[in-house]
Amino acid sequence: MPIFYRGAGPGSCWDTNDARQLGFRAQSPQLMATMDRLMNHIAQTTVTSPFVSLSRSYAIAHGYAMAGPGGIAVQDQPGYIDEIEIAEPLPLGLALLDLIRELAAVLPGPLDRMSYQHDGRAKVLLGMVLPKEFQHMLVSTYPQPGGTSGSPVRVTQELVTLVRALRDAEILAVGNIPASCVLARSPVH
Amino acid sequence: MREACSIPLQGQVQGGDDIEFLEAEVSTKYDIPFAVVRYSVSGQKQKTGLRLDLDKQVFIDHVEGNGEKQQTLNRAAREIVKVLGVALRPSPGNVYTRTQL
Repeated sequence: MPIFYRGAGPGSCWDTNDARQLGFRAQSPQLMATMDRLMNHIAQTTVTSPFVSLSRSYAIAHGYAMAGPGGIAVQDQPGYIDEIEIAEPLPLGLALLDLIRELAAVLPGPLDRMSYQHDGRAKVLLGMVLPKEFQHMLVSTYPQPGGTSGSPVRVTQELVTLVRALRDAEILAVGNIPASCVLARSPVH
Repeated sequence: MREACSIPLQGQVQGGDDIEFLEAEVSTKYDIPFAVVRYSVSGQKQKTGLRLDLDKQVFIDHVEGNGEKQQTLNRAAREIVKVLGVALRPSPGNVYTRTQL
């Protein structure tokens, strides 16, 4: 049975509310779960979203649990990692979305004039995943037919969404996650 | 061992629309892609901080108020990431350098 993780930093909504009692719900559950909102949620971290982010990676959830509006998690003020187990049949009204699969279904094909692919070097991906270290790869010049481009590499919203979803091993929940699915809550600092 | 440290932002990151950025807290124990930014509004330090995703270079949290405040956050996010990038760069004697992955 797959296990998902979600980190709650000190002072965050799911730190002050125990999901083992309340379950999880999105910040804006009344909104339609559209592809544009899905991409904004991942790429821009939009707050007004009908999605709840989960991760298949404990380490990613740990990162999120280590920082909250109350500060960095320390011994006197820990963050929490919730462990969520969801099995089929899914609880009524709940759907789980794998971003990569959802997005792949609507990406342009190889013969379309507009492509989601970048047109720079391989390290462009490093620049997207680790901008602190490799952001220069997104703005440096790069070879093009007939010379060197003077414009930054092309990075589409679709590619950003794909990379960031992979970064966080992210799965999105649409609808409420019942409290009965939240099996454990561990403090971290 | 200290678990977190604060890096001053005043004078290094431009605020706007009554928002002033004071300092950023980072973990010194783990290399996590987040900082918590402390700020003031109209000179009043706010009780809660704003989580900044250092890789996405966007704030996860938002402030109450008009769209101009949000624009100030959006603009400042990249500046703060740059300041922290310099402050956290591993070097001998750097007191902010993280100790674990």
